[in-house]
Amino acid sequence: MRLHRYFFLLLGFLFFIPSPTQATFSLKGKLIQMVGEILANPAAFFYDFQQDLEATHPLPPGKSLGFQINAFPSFIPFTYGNLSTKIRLHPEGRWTPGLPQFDLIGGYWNMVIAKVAADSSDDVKEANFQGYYGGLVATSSLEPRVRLFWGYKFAQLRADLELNEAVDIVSTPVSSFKSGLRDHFFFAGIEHPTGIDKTWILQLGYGLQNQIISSKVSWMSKHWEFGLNIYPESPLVLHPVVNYHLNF
Amino acid sequence: MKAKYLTPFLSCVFFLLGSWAYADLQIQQMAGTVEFRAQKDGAWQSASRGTNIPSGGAVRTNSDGRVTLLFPNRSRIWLKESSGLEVQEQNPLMNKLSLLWGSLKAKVPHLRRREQFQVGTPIGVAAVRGTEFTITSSEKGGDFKIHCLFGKVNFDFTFPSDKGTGSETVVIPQGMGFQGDAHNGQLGLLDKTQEIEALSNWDPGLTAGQRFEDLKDKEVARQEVRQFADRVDDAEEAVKDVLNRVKEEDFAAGRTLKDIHGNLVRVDQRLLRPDSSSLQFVNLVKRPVYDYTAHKFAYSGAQGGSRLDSLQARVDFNRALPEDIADWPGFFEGESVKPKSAELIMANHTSGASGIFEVAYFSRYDATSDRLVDDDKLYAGVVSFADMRDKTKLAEFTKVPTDLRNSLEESGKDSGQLFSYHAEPYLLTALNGQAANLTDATLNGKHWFAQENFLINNDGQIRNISDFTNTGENPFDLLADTAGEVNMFVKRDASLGCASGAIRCVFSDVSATDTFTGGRNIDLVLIPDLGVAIVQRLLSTAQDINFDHN
Repeated sequence: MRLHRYFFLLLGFLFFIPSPTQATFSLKGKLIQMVGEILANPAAFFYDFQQDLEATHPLPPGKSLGFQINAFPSFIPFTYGNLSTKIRLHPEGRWTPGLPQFDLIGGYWNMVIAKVAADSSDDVKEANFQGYYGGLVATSSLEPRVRLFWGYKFAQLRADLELNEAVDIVSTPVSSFKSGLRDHFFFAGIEHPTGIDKTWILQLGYGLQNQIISSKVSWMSKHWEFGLNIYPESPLVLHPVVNYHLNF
Repeated sequence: MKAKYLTPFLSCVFFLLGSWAYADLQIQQMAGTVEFRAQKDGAWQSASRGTNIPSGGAVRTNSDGRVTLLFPNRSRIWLKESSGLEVQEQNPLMNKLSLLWGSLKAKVPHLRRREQFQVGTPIGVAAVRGTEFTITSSEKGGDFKIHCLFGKVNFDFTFPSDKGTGSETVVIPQGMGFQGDAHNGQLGLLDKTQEIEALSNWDPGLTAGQRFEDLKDKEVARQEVRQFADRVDDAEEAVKDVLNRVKEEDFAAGRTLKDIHGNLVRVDQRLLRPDSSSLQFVNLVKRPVYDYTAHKFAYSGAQGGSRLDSLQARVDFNRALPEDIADWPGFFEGESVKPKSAELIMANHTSGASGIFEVAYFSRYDATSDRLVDDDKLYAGVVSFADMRDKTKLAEFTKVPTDLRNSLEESGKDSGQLFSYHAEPYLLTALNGQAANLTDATLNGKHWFAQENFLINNDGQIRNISDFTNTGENPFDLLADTAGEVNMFVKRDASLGCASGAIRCVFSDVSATDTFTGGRNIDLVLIPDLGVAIVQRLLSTAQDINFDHN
């Protein structure tokens, strides 16, 4: 009887097509890939740490001036000496009911160890790692315990390194790189107090020119901020963050 | 500016400034019993809309009264039922009120530089700028509650201490509340109930339902956003479900066409994975009306009613199959993958779940020959749905020994018509409980497994070989208009003695009488759509396939 053999042949047809190759996960390979990505675009890698120190959330209600310093990971271990400032231009509803709170934000950082290395080391000819940002944040209260904020910032970074002798990094000789990044960002987020001097903040950001996506989840207390920043397209996707702030 | 215009102009300016400077607090709205007094020790009088409350005056509401007060600087105060408010001081730079008892809600816009707005209670003073908040206080300063909705409240809290009276400034930010009694207070987050009560509409003259209308509208809007998000979620889940079903079924195909008899037929095919190491092909043939047109073999079963026929082919392997069908070719290429067993079941379900007429082949893996073997056996019978895969419930038929076998074949190849008739002789070798369903239960009696095979188009017309050889039509379109129909019977032998090798059997040796009662056949329509879908799916992943095999 031929019919039943037809179906077995139908399935057997699949036997004769060659197989695709299989890949397995390699930690060493992943690390090499990450180093390669960093070398290919060092400015983007260093900018991730600039984003960690940028204070893009609004001043709390009733405060008009704020300062912020990033402790981890920008200052420790990358020695980004950094300071960010926020100034309230307009408290919510002051000029007319419904008009948001406007805060001017900005900050500057400079990699301390780069300067030290350039001055005191024979291997480093020149090292210049610095950056700044500035922007505006608007905030509106949706409810007494929920505030929505959105804003714009401009960020710029320089990452220049020149060595006297080339260094072998993953079989790649590296003697210098001169890199920079400049972008315009839009961001938005939501702020929700959960207790006295305790606030959760979620925000998303997008860089227009370099198409940089970022997201931040932060838990704020009176003076400390503990957060997790996520940069999906970066070599290091997750950045735990610790910031210190003073608001007046 | 000419002098004659200057004086009137300046007079107007000073008049307006003066008017504004000495404007009193005014009752903007009221409902129920509201009273006021113009001085601290004055008599209480009935208030009305537009009544001015001067500095030093007071206003109170009864258990049915509510009032809204408007300040010259656009601040607004709402007094609830059974509340009393004293205006201690009211001028352009200072608005100092005292909540004697009850509850008030205040909405204070941002003030000028030296302007102040304070609301006192028996145990403290709340100073605000650009704030919306509520205060509740008992007459003797016992329990109190301050809820800050927007902005900030600086509350100077006075409490008894060892040294007489203590004082502390508590900053109440928005979303927070401060409540307690004369001795201590506690700062905390507003809960939902407190927030709703404070955000509700405190205007006089509203019913309880009307007070929460705005909040309900906001909640409805929020619900709509949530529902939209849920719908988007559902759509995503549905897409995922489809993808999962596609993954689970791997492939599905279906077509509606006409069969060789002119009946409307719906064919549905599925390629399934009953478990991780099995593949199952299912072909369902549904007809709303079944009329039979005779070709080679006689059909004496029911006509005119609806009908369901099915074909299931299942192969069980000795290992689990890969999730992605694109990985199957490589999987099957390995030496270690062997089929453990296979089954082919064709059935007519028309008589219902308990009377399914079935013809089946069951094969097992033979390690010696490294292939599936069916021992030349065919199984048939009338069973329930649960017993379809149980060959011990089906009558066993064994092929007539090779030296005695006379298979019958007839086709339209001479005319190029793509059809054939086929009959294979079998001996009934085991009843397995089917005796009641057999018209002849004699063991080792001869029976014929007869088939009419047709290659048809969607109109039920038999295809000609020239349809495939002399066409410029796209092969996929051609396949989409092509189907195979197999009409199966188990017939008795006409006992004309063709078992002897000396006499060849002919089609007249196949009796018109069915082996099984009820005049049953199995009329299957098979479409190539599933195979085409498989090929198309594999071709789409062809770039991942390495054809350079050494």
